[in-house]
Amino acid sequence: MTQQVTEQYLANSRRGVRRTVTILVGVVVAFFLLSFLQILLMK
Amino acid sequence: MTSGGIRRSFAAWAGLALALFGGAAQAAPHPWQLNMERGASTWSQVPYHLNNISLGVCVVIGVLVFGAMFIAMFRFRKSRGAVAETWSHNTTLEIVWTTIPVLILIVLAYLATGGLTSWADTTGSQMTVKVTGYQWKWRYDYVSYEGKPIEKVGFMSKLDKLSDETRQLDSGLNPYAVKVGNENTYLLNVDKPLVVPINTKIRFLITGGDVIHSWWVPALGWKLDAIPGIINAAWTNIKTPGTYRGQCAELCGQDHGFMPIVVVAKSKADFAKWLAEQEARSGKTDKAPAAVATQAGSAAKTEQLAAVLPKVKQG
Amino acid sequence: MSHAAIHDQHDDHHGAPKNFFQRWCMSTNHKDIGTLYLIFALTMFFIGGSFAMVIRAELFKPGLQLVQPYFFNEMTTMHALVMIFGAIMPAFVGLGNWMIPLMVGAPDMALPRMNNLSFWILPFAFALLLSTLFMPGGGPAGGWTMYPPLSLQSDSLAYVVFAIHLMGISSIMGAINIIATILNMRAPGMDLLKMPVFVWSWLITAFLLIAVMPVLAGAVTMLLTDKYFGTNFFNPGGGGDPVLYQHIFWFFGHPEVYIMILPAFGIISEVIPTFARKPIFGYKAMVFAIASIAFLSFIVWAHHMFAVGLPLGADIFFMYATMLIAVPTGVKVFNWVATMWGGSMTFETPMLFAVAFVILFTIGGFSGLMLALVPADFQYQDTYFVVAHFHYVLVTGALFAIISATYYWLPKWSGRMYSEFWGKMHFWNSVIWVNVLFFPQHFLGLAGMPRRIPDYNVAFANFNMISSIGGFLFGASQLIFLGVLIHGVFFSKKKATERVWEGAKGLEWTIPSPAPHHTFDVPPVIHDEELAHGNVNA
Repeated sequence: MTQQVTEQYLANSRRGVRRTVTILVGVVVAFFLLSFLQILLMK
Repeated sequence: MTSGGIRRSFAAWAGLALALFGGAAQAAPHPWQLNMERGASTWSQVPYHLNNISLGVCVVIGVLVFGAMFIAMFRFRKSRGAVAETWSHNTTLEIVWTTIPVLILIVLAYLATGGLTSWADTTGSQMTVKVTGYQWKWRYDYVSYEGKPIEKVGFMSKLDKLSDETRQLDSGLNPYAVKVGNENTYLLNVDKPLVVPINTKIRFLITGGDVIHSWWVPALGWKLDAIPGIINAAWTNIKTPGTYRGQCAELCGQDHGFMPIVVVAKSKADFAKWLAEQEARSGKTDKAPAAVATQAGSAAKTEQLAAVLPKVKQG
Repeated sequence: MSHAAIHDQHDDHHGAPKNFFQRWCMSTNHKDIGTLYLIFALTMFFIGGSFAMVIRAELFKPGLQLVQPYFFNEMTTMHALVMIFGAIMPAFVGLGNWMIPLMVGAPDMALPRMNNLSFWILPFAFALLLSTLFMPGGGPAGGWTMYPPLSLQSDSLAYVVFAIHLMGISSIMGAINIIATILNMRAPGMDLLKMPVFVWSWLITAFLLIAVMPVLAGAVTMLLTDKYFGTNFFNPGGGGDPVLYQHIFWFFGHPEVYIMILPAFGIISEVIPTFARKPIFGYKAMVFAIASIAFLSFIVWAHHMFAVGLPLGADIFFMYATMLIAVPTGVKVFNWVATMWGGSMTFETPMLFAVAFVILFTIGGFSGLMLALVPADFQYQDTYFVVAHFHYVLVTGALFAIISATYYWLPKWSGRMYSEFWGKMHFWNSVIWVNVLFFPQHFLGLAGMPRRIPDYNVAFANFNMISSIGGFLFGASQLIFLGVLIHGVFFSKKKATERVWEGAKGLEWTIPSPAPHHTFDVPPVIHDEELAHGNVNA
């Protein structure tokens, strides 16, 4: 029960992982900073 | 059992249930208490009724859902020869069980909003008391009564001596022996209670002197946090004279469990007499709140805020 | 061609390393790391449980008999921190690590080395946290919520803050890994809407983690600078605001609550169809319900703060938003019941725990609905009613789901069947004593007993004693669990089959038991009728 995959498929998934991680790290940093920003919003 | 026996036992159960689930106004918790108390103020029945209504709704839904589940578990057992079906949708059913909860929620939200709005309305009060939480005692300052400002009536209120001795680790003293009259007051009694009149809309201004506390007397129907730097406002109007006990409800350090609240509600005449006594006595001893504050900075801030009190409606 | 594609993984092809240090400390294998997470969670479960035993022992009768109030507060604080960050969350991450690649047909997690790092941070974080108990100033005693100004009085604040930073980093890396795996590593043909509900629940949970763990990190960083660097974020004396902390904390805290329950929903949605031998009812509705609960979790945080004196409008908004959560949650419960209806059910241990989950979690949901009503919450807030509520959703909810998952997948992990008799003993003991433990706490809260107090008026004595007895026996029941696990992993003579359960569907049941060290190096072919939820498009 296996299927053939191409180099192209693996390369795509690697690029996908890299892109996902970049975006998510950005989100993490944004939310960390956002927690400080709330001080300005609430005062 | 005869039908009379059934009826009698039903009556007995109903009586027991009534006793356990409350109904009469209670000043303090009692053993085996199962439900919230109705409370003693004009507003305190709001949470009481909401509690009962929402509990009833939950019980009905629970009976239906768990009933269906138990029927399924009996009917569709492999050991009874049940053969699994293959369906996995039913649009009508899904719409029904999304819509019905929404309708129930709308009713509950309507009831809760009404109760909340009346709670938030602190206008038209006839008396103002400032409550300050300290580690681990309360301070009460009488600000005004029937339109007249009150000078220098304020005091600390902390755990009574007997409870305090009994509650020490390995004190050897029996908590069951801490009594006032017939009532056990272990950890629910103070050296000097807050005295207030009945049938008066009392506005409480609640703040904290060091860390966050929460002022809670169940018979009044609400609790409100006592936060340094913030003055929260809430009101009550007690209907019956009595002694109402509560506790700090926000973790405030090691003796959080040992800073009870006692409110003594008196008739207006008795209260006027008590207030006059206090005012006469305070002429001799002068206790400024700042003297007992542990953190000068935040206490000063609190005092500052107290000066602009009339403008503050809600924290 | 497939051989060429996997050539660069050549090194990993010889099964697990023989060297203990290499196998466990330097592992990049999702199964071994999953196992580490699960063992860690179990250890923390017993440590946190022992703290709970101290709490229940002190509360056994009125009067202080065993510990000083400050130590009692350390126990409640540490019990919560250890159970939340040490037991429940790592257990779910461990289950996710083990099962997600198997369920989507991926050879491993997307970032195996980071996976190793996210696990190995945890023992250090908890060593830091638990070490505070042995320090002269004592451990944190201001509650797991760490509200300032109280938490700023603690001498061990810096240790706690750094421990939380480490846990947060670990969780964030774990979440990134899970999202990257699910979005990019699925076998061709495993469309998003063909994934098992467990995978869906973890995908959504991981997004919650990504969004809220940094906010917690921000909040505790501000505590740290307030205490040691003279800032005034939360100090009213310097123009700060203690309530602001609560807003930031609960912006993290409420999604955190769902981080601890959404994967549980996923697990139950796997277990019930298996033992009902019928596809999950309303697969898409289940996924949509999880997503809407996750979305709503971001706009309900202030329902933890109804007693702080919010403006009326805020109280009303957060009340309505909170009540709305009952709708998707109700849909999930109804769908589980509908899955059972018309099935062909058997009641092995995982199913027993799943059924108990549905009933008892729903009871926790009911008290949650009651708590949402602001005027009633003015009475419930910070009482044992709340304690009963969140233990119903976390112990009989999250924990029961984890236990159910453990019994469900253990044969796949170890290749041996656990003892069904002792599994059932564990179940019945747990389910009876957990109710003896937590149900009376509803009454205590309604009668007016505040939470986090070491001693109480004699009026609360009866139910506290019952609750403590339930607590001791529930704690003892978990030793049965430990025994069943040790027997089921090392000693059981009964070999597990590939499929293990008659009604089990999904990719994880197509590989041998125990699961080989490497699986799906070559992606499997996906057959729709082989999936746990049937053919969604049919």
